[in-house]
Amino acid sequence: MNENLFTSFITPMILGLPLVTLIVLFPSLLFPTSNRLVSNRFVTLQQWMLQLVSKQMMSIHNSKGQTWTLMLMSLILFIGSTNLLGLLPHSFTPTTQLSMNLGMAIPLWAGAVITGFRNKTKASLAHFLPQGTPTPLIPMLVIIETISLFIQPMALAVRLTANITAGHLLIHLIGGATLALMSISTTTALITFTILILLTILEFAVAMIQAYVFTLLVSLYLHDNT
Amino acid sequence: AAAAAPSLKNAALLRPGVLQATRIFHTGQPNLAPVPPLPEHGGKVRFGLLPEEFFQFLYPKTGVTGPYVLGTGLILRLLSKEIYAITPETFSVISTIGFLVYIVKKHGASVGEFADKLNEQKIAQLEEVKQASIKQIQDAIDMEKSQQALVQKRHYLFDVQRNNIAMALEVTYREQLHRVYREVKNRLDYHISVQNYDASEGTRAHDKLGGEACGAEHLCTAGEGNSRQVHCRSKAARKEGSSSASYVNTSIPIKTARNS
Repeated sequence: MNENLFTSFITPMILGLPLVTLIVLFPSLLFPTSNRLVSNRFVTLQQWMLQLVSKQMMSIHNSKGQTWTLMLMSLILFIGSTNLLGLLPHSFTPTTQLSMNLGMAIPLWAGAVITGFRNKTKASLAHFLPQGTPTPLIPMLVIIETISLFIQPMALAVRLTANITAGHLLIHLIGGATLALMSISTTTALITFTILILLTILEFAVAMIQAYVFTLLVSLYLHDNT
Repeated sequence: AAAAAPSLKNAALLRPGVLQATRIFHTGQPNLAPVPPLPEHGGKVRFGLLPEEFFQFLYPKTGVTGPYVLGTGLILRLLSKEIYAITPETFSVISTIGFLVYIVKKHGASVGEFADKLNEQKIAQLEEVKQASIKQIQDAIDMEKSQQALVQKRHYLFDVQRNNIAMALEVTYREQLHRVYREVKNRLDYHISVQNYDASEGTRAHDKLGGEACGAEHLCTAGEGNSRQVHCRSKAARKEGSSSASYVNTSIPIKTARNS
């Protein structure tokens, strides 16, 4: 089925038509809306979780920053659900593609920074120089801070891509090792299988943590700039 | 419908009705209500995938083991013909699906109960508001009823007040009557004592003086008249309840008769 390690990461096409669009849109089906006061358990749990996350994440912002709530909540739900769905066998994870992650990170970061520059220009420029630096170091520090500012979107995108891709690759490799060891020595295969189970648990955690980290960083950039 | 909307709509610079001309009010029956009720439990499945109806469908022909034999045969065929090949991914399948099944079996019920508790809390909160409102209105009704009952019994109060006033009037009247009686008796006693004095000494004084001047006559007249008056007065005094009016009335004719 899969000849090499890279086959699980190529963009899925079916008869030349991009299937990836449907794959990206699929997680939205898993979050049904309900107009009822008392819904089924699925919807109730999702509403509870969303309320918990939004309270925890948006309480640090002022009212101008809280206008981004919808954006950040959809972001964390999207990244979390695509990562978790990608752990199922033979599935494609859109967040392994750097192009997609760049497409998410750059506009969000740029939006936060430009908002800060437009509304609070002095405060935004002041972020380039941390407090209490000795005077001779100022020019160098300004350059370093500028570089660190412009690296932020790259870091966001690459962090997410690398984590998820690495996780998938590790699962594949250790699965392959188990397969190869199965015919040589079953005990070692079992040990390797245990490692695989632990890794799976880690990957579930990583999937959710990465979503959280991405959204948290964007909200931090927002907090600095509103 | 736009013409019938209230004037608050026209208060803003850009009337809201302009942008959403079709959605001002709920006119007509909304087709979302009444919402059909949700079924309480989903369909029964075995192994989380195969519906129970499939097993019931095969039962008459193959008995209980039928579906299981069919499943085993299908899986073995897939494996032996390499329609499904064993790859590294197979192990990740086993570990992932195994992990998920373990989690669901262990914590599924408690998560479901938690969701039910959330819904119950929501309903309980609203129910509490409703009960508080009902209790408030019930208390208001009870207070109103008790107030009405009190109003019914108000006439007792008025009766008591009326009785009090009548009693006070009666007491005042009797008091005044007694005073009058006392005064009249006082005066009549005085005249009786004068008369007694006249009777005992007045005539002796008259004889002694021999019917002198007008003083004596006056005295005599006065005495006789007085005695007559006193007599009349004592008579009058015996009549209780007769006021000074009768006293005046009886004295005057005798005086005039005497004078004439």
